[in-house]
Amino acid sequence: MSYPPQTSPPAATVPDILIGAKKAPASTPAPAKIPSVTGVGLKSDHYRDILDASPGENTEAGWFEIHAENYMGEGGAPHAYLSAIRERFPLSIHGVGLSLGSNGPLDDAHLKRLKGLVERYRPGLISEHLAWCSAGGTFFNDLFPVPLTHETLRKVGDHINQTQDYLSRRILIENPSTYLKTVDDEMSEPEFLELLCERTGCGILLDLNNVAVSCANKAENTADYLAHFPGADVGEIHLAGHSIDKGHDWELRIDDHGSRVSQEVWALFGTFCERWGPRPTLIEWDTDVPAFPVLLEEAGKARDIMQNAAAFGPLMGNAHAVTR
Amino acid sequence: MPSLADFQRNFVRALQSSPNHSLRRRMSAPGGAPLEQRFAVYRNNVYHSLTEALSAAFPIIRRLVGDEFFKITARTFLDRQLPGRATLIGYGEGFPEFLESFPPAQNLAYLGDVARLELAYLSAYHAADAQALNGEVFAQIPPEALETARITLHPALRLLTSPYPVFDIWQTNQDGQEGAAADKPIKLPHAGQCGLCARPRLAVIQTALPEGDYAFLCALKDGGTLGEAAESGGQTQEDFDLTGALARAFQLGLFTAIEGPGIERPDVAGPGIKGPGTAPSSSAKD
Amino acid sequence: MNSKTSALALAGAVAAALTLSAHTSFAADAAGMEKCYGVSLAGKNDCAAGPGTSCAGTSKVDYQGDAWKLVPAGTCTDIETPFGPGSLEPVDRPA
Repeated sequence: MSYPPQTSPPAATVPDILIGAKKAPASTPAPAKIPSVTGVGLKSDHYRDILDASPGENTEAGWFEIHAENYMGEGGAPHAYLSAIRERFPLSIHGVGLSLGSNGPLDDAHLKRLKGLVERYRPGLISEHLAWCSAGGTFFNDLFPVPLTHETLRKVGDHINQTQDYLSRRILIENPSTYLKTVDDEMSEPEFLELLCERTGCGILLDLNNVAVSCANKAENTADYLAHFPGADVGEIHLAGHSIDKGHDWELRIDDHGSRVSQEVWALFGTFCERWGPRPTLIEWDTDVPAFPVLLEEAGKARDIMQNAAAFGPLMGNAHAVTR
Repeated sequence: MPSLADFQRNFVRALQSSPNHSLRRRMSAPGGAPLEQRFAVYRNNVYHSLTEALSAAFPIIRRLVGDEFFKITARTFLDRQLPGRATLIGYGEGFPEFLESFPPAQNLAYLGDVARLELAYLSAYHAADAQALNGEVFAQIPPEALETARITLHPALRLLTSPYPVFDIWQTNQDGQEGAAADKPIKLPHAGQCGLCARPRLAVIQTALPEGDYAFLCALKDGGTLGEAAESGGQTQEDFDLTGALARAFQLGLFTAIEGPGIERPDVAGPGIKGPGTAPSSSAKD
Repeated sequence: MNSKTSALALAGAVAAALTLSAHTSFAADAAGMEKCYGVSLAGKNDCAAGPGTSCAGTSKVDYQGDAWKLVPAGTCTDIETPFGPGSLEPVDRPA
């Protein structure tokens, strides 16, 4: 399935004048493909910052990513703002509700809503998680772990195939943050993800904060994790902050997306970029969302690391495959 | 090895109690933190995030009962009813009924209807876009065709009636209303209120309405003709002001199409009936 | 009313309503309408989209509690009940 090149933006549902946006020059292209630059997770608090900026400002945010489920309403402000933003920027749609890791079937109604969004906004990237969040028609609004077994591989693979066929698009699968270890694992997470890519042609969304969180919580080594990671399959990187639940005789890392990216995660990012080259890289911040410039600062740091790695690192692969 | 199905069934059960023996054997806790603490993170994520979701959907209820009471109420609700869809837009449909049946909240009988108003607000906020009918279309309709005309109402219009002054309660408890409005206590018992949520552009406007207006709009929504709706308004309210009701409807952009005998097909009737994205330029600020 | 009067009344009302509402265009700015209706705060709710999802976890713990031990303690005091301002005494639902 090839990923069709798209150049024309979707029609705005509400004229600019209604949302007070400065007009972008008519010649501004609206590429669907997301370049290997930094982007920022889109929060409604920042709509105005983004739309009020003149072209050339805020270059740290070269694209935006939304949570699909937050735009599954029919119309109104969310779509008006998103349409206006999509006119100027590439967009990535990141799902948190498809529950690819469910033992049961995917929710057809949810897939349909997702497809509606994909058709409306023609995103450069579409991603979901190696996790489950629904069972028996109940949605838990959290991402639960799956045992990394051959049975899971088969079921998640089938769900990914179904999704890609239905959307006619390749999707990326994100490594989850986990708080405990499943003892029945028959392979490591990097191996599991690599096999998923082989089976389905999907790519990987590598969340380096999740690597730090999960490895710490499972007493595993992040360097080992990255050393065995199928980097060529990575189509996007997530960076975020996490918190540490301490003050007990134990610690747990909590993936709360509520602070700046940690030093450890910056180091992992540098390591990845040196080895595999730049990828579309997103700053996520979902709890206690700060002012927009703080996100730009974080994105700026990521950009510097990508550029340094490009200058000094041996580029082993820039094949962040966007076709399958 | 247990199947994925078994693992997930046990995991879901453990969200409400604690991991059973079978689940404990499938999970390990390397590096210190006990298994129960680790599992508790997932449980907290579910219940905390959904409590926050209810809090975001029902800010006025939260204000009316206070944070602590709200949290416990929400948790009790969640124990009975977790979301059924993987989007939280529209989540909380069962909350008004729950509030009415929740014994500790029984002394605040109006909570259910205030919650319904909050749901109506969100529902209007996320409803489909539509272009309001241009007034010129109306002006060109022959007088004799008006009575039998049927009107399509804007998809974001929500009509609500209550034995309590829910619109006043809602307004008084808006953030930033510590001043004038909050100084005017609402007297209970108080006549009930009816009103609407509408969304002429992006912001939701909600307002109480005269009873006649409400009956007029309900009749239109039920598919009645303009004549029938006007009559319904007059029957409901002795001094029903049809002109005022129509003017309010025009100003709120409530009408999106009109059809009936003697009316030209809407698609050739003039500007303003096109789909979203073709809105005429306006006198809007900015 | 008979239908003849009704048709005339309707036509008159429509014409008058159009004149009355003519000072605002139909894609009119909300501010104007908000002013008309005294809903001065409606515009500030542009971002009030309600709950959203995120894939973030939380370190906050909400403990279960017994609501019977609590009294609703919000801004109910803004509402004057038949039993006096600030009272949280029962307000019965009309039958």
